[in-house]
Amino acid sequence: MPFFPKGFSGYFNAAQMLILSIFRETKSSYHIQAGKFDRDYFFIQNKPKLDALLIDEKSAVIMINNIGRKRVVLPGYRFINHGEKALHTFDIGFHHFFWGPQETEDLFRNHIPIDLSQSHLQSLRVAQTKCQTKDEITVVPSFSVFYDFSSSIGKKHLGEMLINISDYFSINKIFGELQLEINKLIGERITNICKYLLKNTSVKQLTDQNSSLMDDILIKTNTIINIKIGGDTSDAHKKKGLHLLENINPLGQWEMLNIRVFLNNLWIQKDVR
Amino acid sequence: MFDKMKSKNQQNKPIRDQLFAANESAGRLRLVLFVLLLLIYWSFIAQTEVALFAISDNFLALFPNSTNFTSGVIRDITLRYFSPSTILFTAVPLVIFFSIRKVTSRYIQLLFPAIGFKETERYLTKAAFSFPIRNTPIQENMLTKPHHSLEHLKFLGGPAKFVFNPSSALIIQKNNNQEYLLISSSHRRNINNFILSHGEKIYAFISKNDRKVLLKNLIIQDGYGRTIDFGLISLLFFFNISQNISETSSPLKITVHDGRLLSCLGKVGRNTIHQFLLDETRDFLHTNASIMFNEETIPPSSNQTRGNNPDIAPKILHENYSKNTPILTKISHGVSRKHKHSRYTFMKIISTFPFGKEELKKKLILQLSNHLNKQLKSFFHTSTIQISIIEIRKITINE
Repeated sequence: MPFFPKGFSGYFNAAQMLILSIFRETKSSYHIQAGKFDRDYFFIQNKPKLDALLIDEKSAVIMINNIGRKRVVLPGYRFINHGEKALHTFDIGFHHFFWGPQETEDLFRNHIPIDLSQSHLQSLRVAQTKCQTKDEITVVPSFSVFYDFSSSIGKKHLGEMLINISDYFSINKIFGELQLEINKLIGERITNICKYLLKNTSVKQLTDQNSSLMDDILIKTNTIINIKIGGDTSDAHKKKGLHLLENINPLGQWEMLNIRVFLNNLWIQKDVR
Repeated sequence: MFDKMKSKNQQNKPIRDQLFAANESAGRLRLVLFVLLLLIYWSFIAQTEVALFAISDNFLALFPNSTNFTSGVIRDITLRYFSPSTILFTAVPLVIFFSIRKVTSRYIQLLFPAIGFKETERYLTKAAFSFPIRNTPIQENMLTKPHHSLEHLKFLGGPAKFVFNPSSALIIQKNNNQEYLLISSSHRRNINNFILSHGEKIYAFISKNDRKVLLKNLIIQDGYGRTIDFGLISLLFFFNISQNISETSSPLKITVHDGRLLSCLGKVGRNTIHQFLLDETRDFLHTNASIMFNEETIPPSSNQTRGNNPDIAPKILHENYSKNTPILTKISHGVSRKHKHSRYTFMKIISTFPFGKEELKKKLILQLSNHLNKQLKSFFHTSTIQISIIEIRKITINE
């Protein structure tokens, strides 16, 4: 991580910061580690005199200026131009999250829940992945999801992708740390794909012990969620999944996202008919 | 032996690094050169007209008139060399040096408040003069946990000299070209006394414990509806280094992907790696258990499907879907303490896997490690870092 300034403007900024630091009570540089500010995000948003950001190797920041122009600030010690503010921060390391109910939860219980808040949280988790089969039986999968901002293509591509992601969330009025939002977006796309695949399936097919249907659904989910627009679609699964592209947008445009989905568990509602 | 290796290592470095390396003799030589340069500069100033600027009558009065030639020369030399203006002009470079050091220390302290002002000044003085550096013993987990005395090695880097456990591994990052270098006992015979040069910093420190992964509570269901409890599977990350490279003393260059994975193992990110390995192992065992534990009867249907998509994330099935029963309802009846967190009904053990069949065990270890390495390469893009299974403790089959 280069921490000494580059060029004349860098040295000028550093000198200015040093001189001002003598008279200031508050510090003028802020750290961003694993996509998180060391201070409250809104504090930094509202602070017009933010001088410099020290960004660790697993983070990146999108800055926006007065006229709405964005720039990607990659790891290192970076000075902030006049009128700029931090719009989005990214953790560009490896990520893992669970999507759906917890493994040990009893979803289709008959007894009245004792803890209402826990019950509410559980219902929210169930809603994340709830699907229905062709014969209208509720199926709730839970997933273990890994993703990574692959750095194999290069910094330029990474920068472009981060700007794309930032644009998407800006339109949706989401600002600040984006890790949880990206998790949510990936999770929702996984659910959409599963819903589509399960609505053509009967519960009998799912529960047949010799059937590998759920395995196939998972393979298709992994294939479709990793389809990139303009990428190779020669694979049979990819061809089948092309018509689902509208469901996975904007992930299809984010070339460097490398996603892997595992099925953690599956709950099937008891057939009461 | 060590000296030979050290000198060979030093020879491989460019001249700039050799000068700035934390090498005691080079450091002392540079200090002597600096002192000599200062003396030459002082003499030069003393011979110029500058020396006479500030010689006032009061100053001259301090020196009695010369009575002979020798005393005249001494008087003249003393007057010129110790004239206030000579001393002032000679001190200017020193003042500039100390001022710059002060300002730079302040700048670094603004960036890394954890390091501290005095520590930063010490670092800069060492970097400027390469003063003899004391050995810094690095214990296990010292770098993975916040440790004040070692912060500068991670943020500012060398020059430094330290000792660390031979079973540990170290990744060094070069500031100029962003290269990652791996230092471990598997390719470097003597790592007890390691020198971190100027321009190099510690990127990650991985102890042997960090490289170990224990997969517990691995219970899967095979195609017969049997549950197979794998007890404990121990994995170990290792460095796949060729024989030729391992014989050389120079550090091994690794890719940024290998560096990222290893640095994750030494930090909080290790949980992600462990979870990935757990999910992959579960998946592999679920897919292959039926085949491996009864090769003749179970057709590898799911395996055939996977064969077309080697890089696609594998599938996993943990529930006996045919019963359509809520999971915990099943688990909560007659579940022993041992299987409290299991997703499967605890059933009567009818057979313990006959581990006399060493061939089958070897086959399982081989296939699982191949699978894990393939998936590591596919997702994390690793090349030097591989994983091996060191132990599968016990396999129990329940029906």
